[in-house]
Amino acid sequence: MHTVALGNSCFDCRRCHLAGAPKGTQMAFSTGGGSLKVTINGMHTPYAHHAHDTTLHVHVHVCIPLHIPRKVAINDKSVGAISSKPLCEAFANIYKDKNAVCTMTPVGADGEVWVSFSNRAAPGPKPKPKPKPNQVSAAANLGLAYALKGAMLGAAAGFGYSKVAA
Amino acid sequence: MRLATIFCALGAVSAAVLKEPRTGIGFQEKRGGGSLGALGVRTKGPIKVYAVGEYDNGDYVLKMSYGVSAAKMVSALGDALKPRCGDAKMIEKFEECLLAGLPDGLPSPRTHAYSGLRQLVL
Repeated sequence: MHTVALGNSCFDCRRCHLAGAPKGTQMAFSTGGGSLKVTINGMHTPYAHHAHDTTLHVHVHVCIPLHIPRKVAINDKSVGAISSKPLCEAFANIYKDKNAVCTMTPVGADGEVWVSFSNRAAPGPKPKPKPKPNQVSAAANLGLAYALKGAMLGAAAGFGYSKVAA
Repeated sequence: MRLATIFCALGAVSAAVLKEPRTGIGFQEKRGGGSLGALGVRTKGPIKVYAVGEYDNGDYVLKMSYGVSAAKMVSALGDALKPRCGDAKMIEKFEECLLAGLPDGLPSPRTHAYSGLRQLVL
C-alpha cells in the first residue's frame, strides 16, 4: 500500500528537477565581443508530484501532469557569459567550418518563405477553374439554341400580330 | 478607415519573420542590431532536432524542433566544441552554464517509472 500525494513537490528527488530543452525552447548564443553570452527563452510546465510509499521505503516515481498545464514563460533569461575569444570562435565554427554540424543556407536562396506582417496579403476569393474545351463548346451550343428559340418565338409573335391586325 | 490605417501602421512597424523551410520555425530578420544571414537544421537521422539562425553580428539562435533532455543538449554542444577549442575548462564552464539555465523538461511518466524501478533494481 502506498499513499499518493498530489501537488506536493519533492525537493529530495533530483530526478524530478530534470532540466530539458522541450520543443519550442530558444537558445541564443552571442559570440561577438569576445565573450559567449547565453540567453534562453522557453516554457516551463510544472508537474504535480508524486507517489511515495513510506511504508515500504520505496520511492515510486510517477509524475502526473496537471489537468490544465500551467505553463510559465521564461523570456530572454540571461544564463551567463563566458569570457573567452577562442570559445566564441569555436562556437561559431560549429556552424561555419568544413565539419559544421549542419548546412547553413544563406537567406534569400531558394526554398525560403518570407512571412512578413507588413507585406502579408489578405486571402482573396478562389480563382474559378478554367473550363475544359468540350465544356466551352457545350456552353456555346446552349447559347445558340436559346438565341434560335428566341428568334423563332419573335417571328411567330410578329406573324400572329400581322394576321390579327389584317 | 481609421482602424485600417492603424493596422497598416502596426504592420509596417512589426519586424519581418523568416521561416526555416524544413521545420517551419520562424526567425526574426533583425536581432540585437544584426541581420539574419543564414539558416540551417541540425538533424540526427530522420529527426530534426533544432533549427539554427546565424546573424551577421555573431549571434546564433537555436530553436528546438524536437524535445531533448538538457544533458543531451549540453553534451551535444560540448562535444561539438571539443575538437574546435583546446580549453577544456572553458567548455566545462559553458556546459555548466547552459545546464543551469535550461527550463525543466517533460520526461514522460513511463520514463520516470522506469527510472525509479531501475534505481530499485540497481
